[in-house]
Amino acid sequence: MNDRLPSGRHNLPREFVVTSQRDRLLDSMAQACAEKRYAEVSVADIVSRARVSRSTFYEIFPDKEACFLAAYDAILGRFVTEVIKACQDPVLTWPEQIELGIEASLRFLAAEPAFARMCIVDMFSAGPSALERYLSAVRLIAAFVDGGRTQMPDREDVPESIALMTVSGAAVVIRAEIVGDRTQDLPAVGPDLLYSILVPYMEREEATRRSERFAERLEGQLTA
Amino acid sequence: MAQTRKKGSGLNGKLPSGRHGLARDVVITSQRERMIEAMIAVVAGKGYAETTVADIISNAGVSRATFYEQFADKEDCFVAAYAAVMERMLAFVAQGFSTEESDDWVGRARGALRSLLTYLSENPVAARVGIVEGFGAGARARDRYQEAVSAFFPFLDAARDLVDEPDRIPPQTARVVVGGVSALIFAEASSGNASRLPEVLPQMMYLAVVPYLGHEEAMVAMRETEVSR
Repeated sequence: MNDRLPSGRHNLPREFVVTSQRDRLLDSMAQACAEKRYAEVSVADIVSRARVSRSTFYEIFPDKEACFLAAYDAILGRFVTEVIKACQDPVLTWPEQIELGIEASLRFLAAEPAFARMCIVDMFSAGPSALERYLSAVRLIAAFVDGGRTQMPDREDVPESIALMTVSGAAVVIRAEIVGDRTQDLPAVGPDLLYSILVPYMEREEATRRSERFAERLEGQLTA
Repeated sequence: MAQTRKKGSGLNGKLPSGRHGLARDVVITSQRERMIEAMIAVVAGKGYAETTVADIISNAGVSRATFYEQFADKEDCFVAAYAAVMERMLAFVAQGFSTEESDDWVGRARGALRSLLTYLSENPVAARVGIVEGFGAGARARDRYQEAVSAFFPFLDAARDLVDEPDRIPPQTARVVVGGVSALIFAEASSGNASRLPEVLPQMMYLAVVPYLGHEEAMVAMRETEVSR
């Protein structure tokens, strides 16, 4: 995806060239966002990294924001696929699905620092469409977490708004790790997030045990 | 959100121009405070991105040179304004936490949250700057947010004194609660509904209590929370 096509006459269909240029622009946008703040990223920056001309940029995207959103959407699809693959096995119980979902999300973000910065940090400063995308992702995850009210015994009375608040709070923890340059170690906050997300839907002791077992499992993987 | 200012109306008023015999540091402090207040008012009105240094100096009634004597740039001034708003929010939380007659932690936490929500509902400008723009403004402001929020943690972590094996409650617990509270305030404030904030106090009480004392106690805390209007 990063390889530039040979310049000059190459007899490649125009559609293919445009796709390759578009991919390079998306990649450059993500890389630029990983290195500096979205506000400081310029179109000049992106086109020079992608080695395409400014006019090509504007043939493909109306502005910087459109390119940002396209870059975000391109990785989001992979993110969602991986998280669903990790946690949607029907033999898993609801708390196990939550645990594996958290783990898969944090691992993905740790492996894709550019995407992590875009979707958890820059989404707030990249305009209203970006913010709306961020909020709808949070709402989607919260709807799954809110399943705890019916999946777990005697928890129908947990207020519906709690899931949205704990998921948003978890995002704040993740943001603090990214801003503090600890993106690579994101999985380490998984047990803490698991506790906060599960605790409304089970006894405190059980949420604690699950969080502790998750931490042991992560440590085991580290030393293995 | 135009602000009318009366001459000499305390800290926010512009000092009389010309020779006034005031010490230079008094003048500087007054100008700094006016610029910070101007930043808060203008950002609340049209958002950080649209705010310009020209807006700030005209609202504060100072020269451009004065602005750049005290602030490196727009973001620097915003960081100062943001710190001022967070300080006020923290003061309301601390006051609510300590003046609540009840001496149990749940009562104090309720007092703190009620005080914060009442303040923000009456000062939507503070909600807009402290929460909405604090999330979205420049990176320096964002880094400050991370520091500023940790000042709220001790009010929550005080609940650890009430449980056996407090160290088994994960360290990030308070940050998740504060993040959840800010997210709900963000949702109300960014849709222009800051005045409705006190209505969400019961759910926030549940959120604050559940990781420390569990579901049953959180339900009691929520049911015993009356919404003040």
